[in-house]
Amino acid sequence: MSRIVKEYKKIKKVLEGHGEAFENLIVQLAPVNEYDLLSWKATIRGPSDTPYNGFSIGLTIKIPSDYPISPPMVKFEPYKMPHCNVNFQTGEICLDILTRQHWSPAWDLLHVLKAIEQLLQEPVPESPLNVDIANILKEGDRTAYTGLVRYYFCGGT
Amino acid sequence: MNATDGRETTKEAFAYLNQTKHSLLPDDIILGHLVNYPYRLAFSLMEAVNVHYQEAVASSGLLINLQSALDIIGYFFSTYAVACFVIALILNRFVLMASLRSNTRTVLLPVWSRYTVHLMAIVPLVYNITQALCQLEVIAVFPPVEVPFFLARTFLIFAWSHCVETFITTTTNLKPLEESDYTIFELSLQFYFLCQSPQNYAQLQGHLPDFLTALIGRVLIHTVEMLDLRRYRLWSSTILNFFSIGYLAYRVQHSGLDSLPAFTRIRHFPKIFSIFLILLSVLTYLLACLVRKNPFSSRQFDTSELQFHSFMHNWWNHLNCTGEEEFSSVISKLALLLCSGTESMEKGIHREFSPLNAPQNVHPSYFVSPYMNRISTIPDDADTSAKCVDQTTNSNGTLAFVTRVKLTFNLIKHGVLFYLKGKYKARKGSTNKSLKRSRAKTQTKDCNRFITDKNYVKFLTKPRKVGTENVKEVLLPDEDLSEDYSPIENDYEDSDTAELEIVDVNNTPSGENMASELSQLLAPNDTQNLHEDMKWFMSVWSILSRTQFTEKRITRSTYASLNPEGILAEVMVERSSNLKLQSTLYENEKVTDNDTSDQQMELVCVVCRINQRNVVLWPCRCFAICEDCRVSLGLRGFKSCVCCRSEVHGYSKLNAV
Repeated sequence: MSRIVKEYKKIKKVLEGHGEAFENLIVQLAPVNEYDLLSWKATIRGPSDTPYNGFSIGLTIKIPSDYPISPPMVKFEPYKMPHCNVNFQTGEICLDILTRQHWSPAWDLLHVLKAIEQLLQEPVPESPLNVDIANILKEGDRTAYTGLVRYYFCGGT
Repeated sequence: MNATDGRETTKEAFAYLNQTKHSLLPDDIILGHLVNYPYRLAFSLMEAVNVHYQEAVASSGLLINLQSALDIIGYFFSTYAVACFVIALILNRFVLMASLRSNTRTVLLPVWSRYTVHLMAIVPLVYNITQALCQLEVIAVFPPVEVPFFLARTFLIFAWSHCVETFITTTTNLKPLEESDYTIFELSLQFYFLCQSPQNYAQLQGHLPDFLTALIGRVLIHTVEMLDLRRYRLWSSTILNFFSIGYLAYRVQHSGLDSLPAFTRIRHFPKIFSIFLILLSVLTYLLACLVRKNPFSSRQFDTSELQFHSFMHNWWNHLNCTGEEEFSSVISKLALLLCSGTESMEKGIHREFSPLNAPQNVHPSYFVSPYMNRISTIPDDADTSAKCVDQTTNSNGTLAFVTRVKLTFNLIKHGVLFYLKGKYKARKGSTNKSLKRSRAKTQTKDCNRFITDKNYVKFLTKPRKVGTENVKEVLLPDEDLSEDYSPIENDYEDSDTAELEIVDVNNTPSGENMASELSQLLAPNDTQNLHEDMKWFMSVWSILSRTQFTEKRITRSTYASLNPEGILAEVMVERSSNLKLQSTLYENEKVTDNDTSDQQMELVCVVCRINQRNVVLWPCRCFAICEDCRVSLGLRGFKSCVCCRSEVHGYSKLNAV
């Protein structure tokens, strides 16, 4: 439990300006409520040279009670996320390091966000949660992919 | 047809069931049956009790008659009862005697005494087994003897065997092995019954298999004790019981259950009932597995989600067997465990709290210190120590014999190879050159790499013979082929004076006279080579400086024996210089990468980020977690290192000071 406190301090420090590595990625990463560190809200920038470039993407993070042992539960919320490894309805993310088997207690929330950024850069259509986008990606139709993503972000459902 | 026949015969056999002639009301009026049926039922019940009571009184088989009462009382006054009592007293004395001694010390009887005493019990037992077989007319070694005499002798031998076993085990602070199926009391009862009347003698044939099993069981116990193989006792007992139960089944099949004497039936009932219960549970479990696996549906469920999965896979651990128990007690324990609902529920539950409640699933990795599984702590020694580990692990227990066989085989193999090589050499002298070359190749290894602070003594006291071409590389070459070398005798005796003076190697005497001395001493012929030989000069620098200091020329071996610490320090300095270079590079990188304020955070456990790191995991040697986190990770079944994901085989706790 106190681990998340430590992490919060570190994240604060990193976001205040020391962490150049995260400047391009994180807009906001903070607990919803200062007194409850178990649920977090994050906003990340869409990485450049991806269709998400220029958009801000919202995430909610739920910290389990045995946190560093179990992975945090990360979802794309409150906005829908068009991505082949993200469930469009629930926002659930298919990422191996967020599963119990592959999670390592050595990682923290910054690592998780980094991994999500990587997932945005390199979608894995082989294990899709959003079959439509995965099919588009499998066909290699980048234009359709970009168009679809932009459609959703700019006023689509 | 058959059904109606059956109904007819039933009616005839139990005439009292047919009470249709009795009726309170005529059947044809409304609700007449309602009254008549209970009435007839009550009537038939009364009739039935009456009829069966009459039968029982007539046969007198059900009631305890005078004869059986006399039998029971008679036993307590028989010689067998007295003998049983006396033996029980003797055994009790043995046990008491043992409890009076200190039981903290393990007493080991000399091997010869153990063998003699157990053989003293085994020989009569084997003799009696043969006699019993003769009595059964299976073999004809001895002529059959009178039944009471045979029984008395069997009883005495049995008692003797018990005494021997109890005496030996209590002297050596162990628990005596026993057969709970064939206690002395039970046997005495059985023998008394057989001796009771001459018509009972005929029943000996039926009882003999039981006696045989008991005798063989005693022989097995003595053998196991004699050869010091107590932990295999369960196996021998299981095999014996397997055969005896198989024989019983055969007899029941061939001549019916009645052919078994009552004693045998009572004796074997608990065992067979336990086996039945166990089989039933296993069958139920297998059915559950089958339902879970469901070969007809596309969805396959994992059987490990079954409630009793972990119990079924670890029943042996739950039994807590050491192998010294006997078959019947183990099997009844297992049956009890299966039948007692709550206990097996507790042990079988697996789903709810999987990582915590099933300790057998925990990988030992996070709990095993490397000293226990003998992972080499010094990486450079890994190759050599691996062999040692093999030998040491083999040498314990029964594997020692296998090792011995392997060793002799290797000896023979090498002997033959040596002989063949000798022949080969003699025939072809020319091949010697190529042999030498290959040997030279193997020698070009960097010997310095193999020196650590543990094994340097080996190198210093017994320098290896090394080829001439890598003089520069080895620490202290045995042979010196430089021209000015002349070994000095008789210097050795005086060296004790030199020993008293402790020279700091790093503190080399400076000055030009030193350099001139050096050039005089070394006097290299060609100055071009000087630069190349610089390394070599450096390696002998400390020796020369010492020579200068003590005004005496010393050989390398003398120097080595005088100043091992100094040499070690040199080796360490030389080796660490390379490492330092790497580490400084690495640190520079780190400093540029991270904030300087985070430097302190670096040594905090990566999992809890609170405690200091103090646990190193093996074999990946990641130094990342603290003791608390090691325990909690291990309990939750983590098998791989949190940092590098390689499998963990052990840990070391460091004490940072």
